[in-house]
Amino acid sequence: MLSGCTIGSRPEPLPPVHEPTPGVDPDVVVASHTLAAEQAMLDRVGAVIARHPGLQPRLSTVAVVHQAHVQLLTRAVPGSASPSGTATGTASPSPTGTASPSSSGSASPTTGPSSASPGPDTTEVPRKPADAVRWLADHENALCLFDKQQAFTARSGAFARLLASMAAAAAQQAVLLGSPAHGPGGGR
Amino acid sequence: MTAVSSLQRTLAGEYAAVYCYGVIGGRVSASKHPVLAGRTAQAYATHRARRDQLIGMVRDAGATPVASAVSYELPGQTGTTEELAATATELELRCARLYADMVENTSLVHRQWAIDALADAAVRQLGFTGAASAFPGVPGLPY
Repeated sequence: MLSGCTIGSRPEPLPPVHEPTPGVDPDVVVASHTLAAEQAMLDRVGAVIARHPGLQPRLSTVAVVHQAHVQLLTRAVPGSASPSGTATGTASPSPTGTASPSSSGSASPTTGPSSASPGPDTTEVPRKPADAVRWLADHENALCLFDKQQAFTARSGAFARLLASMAAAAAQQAVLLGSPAHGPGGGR
Repeated sequence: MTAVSSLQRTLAGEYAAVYCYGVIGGRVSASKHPVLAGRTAQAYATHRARRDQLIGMVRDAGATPVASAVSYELPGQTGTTEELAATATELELRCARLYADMVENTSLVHRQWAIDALADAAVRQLGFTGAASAFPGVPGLPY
């Protein structure tokens, strides 16, 4: 019953797993691709909330999780004020766990996409709220698999650990979104 | 930490998990709390399988697997159903930290094993009393 990150429902292609780029630390490329995938997930959550405001309480945790991932990965990608760019630097990512995003950013469950965006693109969001939640769950599953692949390919062990943790977080969200009755302490 | 040391440390954690789930499973009433009993039994089977897999990994690496202790102290109370579920959650949280450490200290097939185990533990603890987090298995980060 409990199964996150299942194979078989990848809604759309995610960024390439690993493409060697001359002169760029391979882990920076991994961080850049993962950052793009996490930001895309965060944007999807914002789009669903924009189209279905009644889902905001349920989705606030999802947004907080991916916002935390985006904040940490942004620090790992040199010169990435916005997460959409590709890696251009040569420095190693250093998400060693000591870098802590600002408390103001992590304490409040901001649910929208990055403030630089003109607004959430809701064109892909299913019309029915229940379908929209399932749509997010499918994307969480796909993101989990992607993050796992990134963790496998990362050269730095410490970085791999963080990426594997992000995959685990996506697995949790996939389960929570996919099972309305399931929650902490549920089903004794 | 070497890769073999990390395998041994994870194996020691699996010994503890198997023992503790054995105790928890013996105290959950399957008739009164069938869901919790089922999840506990599933967790016991999973950790026992992981234990055996780790023993094989250590041997394949040319080392002698660490031995199991005779008994282990449970990481929580077991007087009520809620306490049993909370103790199971704590077990999974501890295992998740071990798996995350193993990801960091291994590569290739061993790292893949640990990546999958970490996600599995993160999901399993939701079935007891655990809550989702942004960085399962990695304490000290926000949320």
